[in-house]
Amino acid sequence: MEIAVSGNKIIMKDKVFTELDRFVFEFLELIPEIKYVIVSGYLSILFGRSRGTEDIDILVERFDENTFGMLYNRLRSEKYYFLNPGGVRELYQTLKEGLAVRTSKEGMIIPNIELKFVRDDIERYSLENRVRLILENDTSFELYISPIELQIPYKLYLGGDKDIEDAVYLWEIFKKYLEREKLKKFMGKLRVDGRVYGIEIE
Amino acid sequence: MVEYTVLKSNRLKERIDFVRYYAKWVNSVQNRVWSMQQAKLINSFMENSKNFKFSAEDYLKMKSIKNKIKF
Repeated sequence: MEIAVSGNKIIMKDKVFTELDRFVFEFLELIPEIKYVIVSGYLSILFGRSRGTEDIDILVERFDENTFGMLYNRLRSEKYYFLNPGGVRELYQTLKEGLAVRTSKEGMIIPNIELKFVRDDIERYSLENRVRLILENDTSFELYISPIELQIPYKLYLGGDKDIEDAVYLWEIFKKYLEREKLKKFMGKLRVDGRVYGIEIE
Repeated sequence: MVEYTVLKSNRLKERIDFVRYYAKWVNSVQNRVWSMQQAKLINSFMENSKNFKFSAEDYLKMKSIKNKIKF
């Protein structure tokens, strides 16, 4: 793995893009005005984990119904649909209630994009401190991801086998770059301890 | 039940050992090398996902049940 990490920026060169990456890039190109951050499973996949995923979790800054209507129309015109029932009003209501709406390309269920408004301090931190990931290749792409120092504790907090494996993977890939104090802070806040899985902060 | 819990915990340990081993390999090779292998695997998942037979409604129901069950 060759990456350059500095502050809130990571550069990764020469990654061979997967169809899943292209699915995500294509979606992100349709929401240029929306402040977003990618969280959870796709992050570990982006950095090489050999597993698939059904959904890409994206947190977004709250926006109003008109903005959602514009986004909805743009996605529909690009052959996306929403898996949840209802039109603009119902879908927006779902988002407002703190639930996720899922969208994918017509005829597809998997993979899908799971879109949610930020709902709590942890998610807010993730969005406000998002990391710019620059993927340099023949065709380069930039996207925003959650700070890894938050993702590792968060995955441990979720606690499923797959989540713990993701946490260990991210730790192994990023351990020489991570800000230990930040990691410790989120471990404490989420009341998780990675030592049993070999995530040794001290 | 105790036996099952031990099996589950051993299985997770084995998985974590593999994840650590795999991460070491990823760290040791150029991006093009690991990502080319990863792309083959993920692209095959993507191809296979076209055979997914659930409707959007059934899929959402399944996700909602899955989120309620904690192992």
